[in-house]
Amino acid sequence: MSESVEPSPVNIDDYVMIQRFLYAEAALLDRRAYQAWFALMTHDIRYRVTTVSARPAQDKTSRFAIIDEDAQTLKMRIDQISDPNLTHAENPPTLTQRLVSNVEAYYGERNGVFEAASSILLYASRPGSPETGLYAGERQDILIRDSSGVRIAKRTVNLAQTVLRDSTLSLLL
Amino acid sequence: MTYHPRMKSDATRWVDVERGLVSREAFVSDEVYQLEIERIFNRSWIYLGHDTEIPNIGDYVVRNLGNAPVIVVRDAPDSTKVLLNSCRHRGAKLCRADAGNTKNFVCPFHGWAYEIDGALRTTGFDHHLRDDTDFSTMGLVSAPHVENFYGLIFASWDEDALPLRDYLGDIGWYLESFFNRTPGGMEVLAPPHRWRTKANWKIGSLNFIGDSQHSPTTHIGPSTLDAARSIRDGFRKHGQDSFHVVTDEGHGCTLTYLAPGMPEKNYDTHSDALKPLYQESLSEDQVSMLHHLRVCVGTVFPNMSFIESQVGAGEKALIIRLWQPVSGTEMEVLSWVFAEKEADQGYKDRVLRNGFHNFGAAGVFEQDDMALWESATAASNNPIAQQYPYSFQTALPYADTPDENHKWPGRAHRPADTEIAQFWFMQCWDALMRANDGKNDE
Repeated sequence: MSESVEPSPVNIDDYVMIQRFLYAEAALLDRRAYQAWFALMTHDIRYRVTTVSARPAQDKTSRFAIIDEDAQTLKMRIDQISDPNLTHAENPPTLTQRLVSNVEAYYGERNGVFEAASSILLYASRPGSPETGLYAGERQDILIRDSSGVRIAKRTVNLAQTVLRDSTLSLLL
Repeated sequence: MTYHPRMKSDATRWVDVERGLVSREAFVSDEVYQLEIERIFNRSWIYLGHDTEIPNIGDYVVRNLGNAPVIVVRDAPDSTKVLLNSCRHRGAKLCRADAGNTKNFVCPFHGWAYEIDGALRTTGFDHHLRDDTDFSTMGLVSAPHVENFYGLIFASWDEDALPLRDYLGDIGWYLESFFNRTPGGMEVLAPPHRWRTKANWKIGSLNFIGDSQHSPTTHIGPSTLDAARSIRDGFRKHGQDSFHVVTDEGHGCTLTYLAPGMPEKNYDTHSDALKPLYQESLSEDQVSMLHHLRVCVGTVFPNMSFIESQVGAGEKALIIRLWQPVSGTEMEVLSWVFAEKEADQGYKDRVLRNGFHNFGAAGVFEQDDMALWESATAASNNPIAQQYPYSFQTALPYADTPDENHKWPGRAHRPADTEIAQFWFMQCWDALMRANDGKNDE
């Protein structure tokens, strides 16, 4: 993942630690514990979700963001969907199940920094609708571990979609 | 004539002008959708994209003109062609990507090859064709009219289409103010966000032409959490001046200003670095229209909308929105964010981020709109509901009292929290839907 030097895969203890973190963090989102999830972000979090424009195979992939938040705008997004009086998209809430897999983890640029890649599959069932949404993507995270635990400093979710099939996205991945 | 809640013949009108009602069938029926394609989308000027999406010769994007797939291609420095994306031989798509660059269009099915202006170069089997085969009639089907309005590319399938400027009428003055306000013009900052929504396309057009009534309820989230709270508090305290503008052609917009007398620091408007350029490019009236404008949201009939808004923490963002019908109950939405070409990259990045934070495929405004538009479409798509038309009744008391002091183009109406612009859009829609059906019953 690092561009200049060959990334060094984490040892098994760190791998399990990162995997547990990613599972727990996804469970918080499935339980709609959004404020607890937000507490896992660093104060300088950059949270991005991208889709792609279909280009001829010989062209460079053209990805672009549909969500690109810093701590302040991510907090606004979360405050909206976590307050029943402030959201229609998530009231009644979408029923979700996030599957996290294909975890790869490497040591980052300094001690306590990790680069983690994972796959996410988000199953989303909107109450009252017979249809379900599926969002699949690869995630690239920069995780930081210090005395207070592990936090996410950067997340990029690259969705495997050109057109969102199930209307606008009000969930986090 | 009497109002028929259900459409039984082409001659039925959907809009009851006297009572301020519109048949729900207009918002769910696939039969109405088919008629709309024929009578509205294949006759009107339709927005397809922006010059800056296809800057170089051979650049193309794939869009829809009506419900026909088309290639919008830069075939010469100052020329754009709109070509049906279907081979004249056996119909396959020439371009199966969303965008790209090509020297020619070669059909992947059997190899017919076309120039980028659509002319047929070879079938690959020309030696088997009769000598009198006329290649000049075998090019890609080309939209007869393509015109450019300050970078905005429109096309029409109608041979007899009015010139674009006449079609735009008075809304052109406002579009020019937003899209031609610097010498360099505006620039698309990223490919369009795209999403499918199970809602009728007209809900989008109506929402943007002037649905001020939905904001406090639909958007209670972002308006409560808005980081530009100090500005909102300012206009809550001092009031705001908001009004609709409609044009004869069915276009319109809603302009919202902070009330006069507010402390200048509360006006968070356009970039100071760019404002002098506005004065170079626009008339004095246009500059004063933009001055202290908080939000402008509008619709170019039938399905292009635009918004320049100043919500959230960031820069003011200008957005174009296309409500592409898919059926009576579904649309695909395309959404682009724009900034002035002359702006620095940091400013453009902030405009883009702020723009789609609010309005886009995951926009904090949009997500609540879509949830409610889908619910309206789903709940109206049954014969019981369709006996009860939608209400636009708050348009009625104001229909005949335009603001006589309005000094800019178009007909202005106050107050803005009425349905006057939306109902006008539906009346123009209804007139086109009933035109030329051979059995008008008026």
